[in-house]
Amino acid sequence: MQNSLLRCGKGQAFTLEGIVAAVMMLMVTYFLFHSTIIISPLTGESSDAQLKQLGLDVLTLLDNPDSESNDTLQNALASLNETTYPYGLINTLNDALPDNIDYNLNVIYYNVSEDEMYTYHVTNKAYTQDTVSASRYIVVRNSAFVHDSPFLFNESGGLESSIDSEFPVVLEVKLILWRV
Amino acid sequence: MAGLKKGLKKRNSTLIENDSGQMIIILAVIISVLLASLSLLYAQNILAGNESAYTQLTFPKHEIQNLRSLVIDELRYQAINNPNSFTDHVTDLDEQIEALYASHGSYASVDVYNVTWSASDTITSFNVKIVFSNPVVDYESNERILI
Repeated sequence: MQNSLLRCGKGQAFTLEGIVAAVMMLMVTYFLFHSTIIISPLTGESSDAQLKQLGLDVLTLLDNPDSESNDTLQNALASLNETTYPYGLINTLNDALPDNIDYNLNVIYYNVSEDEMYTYHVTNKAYTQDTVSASRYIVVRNSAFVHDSPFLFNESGGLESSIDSEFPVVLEVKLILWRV
Repeated sequence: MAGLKKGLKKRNSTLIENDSGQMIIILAVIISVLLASLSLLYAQNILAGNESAYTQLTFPKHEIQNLRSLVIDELRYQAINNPNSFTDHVTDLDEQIEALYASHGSYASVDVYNVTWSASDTITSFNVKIVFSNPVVDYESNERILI
């Protein structure tokens, strides 16, 4: 009984080791509690969420109907036809997106009189398996389009003078992103 | 002689009778509990990350903001610049929006009512109802727009 638990002076190094371990565990607990609001980078979904947010941010940035710059969505798509490539918009997209991300830009529109959905491929690169898409809807009026624009709405199908110049054409600008 | 007997007795004692090293056992238990707690926290951390990412991918916050700003800006423009074609253009806008959102599995529509006119045939105000619905969110707004 001389070596009772309270009187025993042996094993002090073990006690210290235990205390140090407990403090370390508490520090790790504290760190983990404060990191729960961060999207865990352990899953593919979080990576997709970041990529989608990046795409949405870039499209929001380029959606500026009041600007006269040729790289806004409105101006670039209004002047688009079979022969005019939107270099300003594409260059800005290349600058805005990181080098390790590639993309395709599509424009989807609905023809009211034909009751048909169309997709115009501004860029048409080869996809990888894991892609994320971000969409932005814009309105461009008929009067803003060039006369041979694919988006121009000619309800009567007749002469250019008969086209309703204030007809609001809704375009879905779809940015498909993937990591390379 | 008595000390020798005691030593021999201690050496021959079974595992259950041996009462030395209790602090080590206690610390081992404490550390085991802490490790279990940490495992739980780690699992919760991964779960929270997955949930946040999933919510961010599926919640249509941007679609609703985009729809609302697009509709109100365009209707305001049409009311000021084309009051005579206003109703037709609202219908055209609604048809296109419905079709484009439907292609993504969502429903969106625009409706205008209570259009008030001035004596000089200009629109002075109107009500707009914007509806957005998908499997995650149902959104509806009614606003009075003054020109």
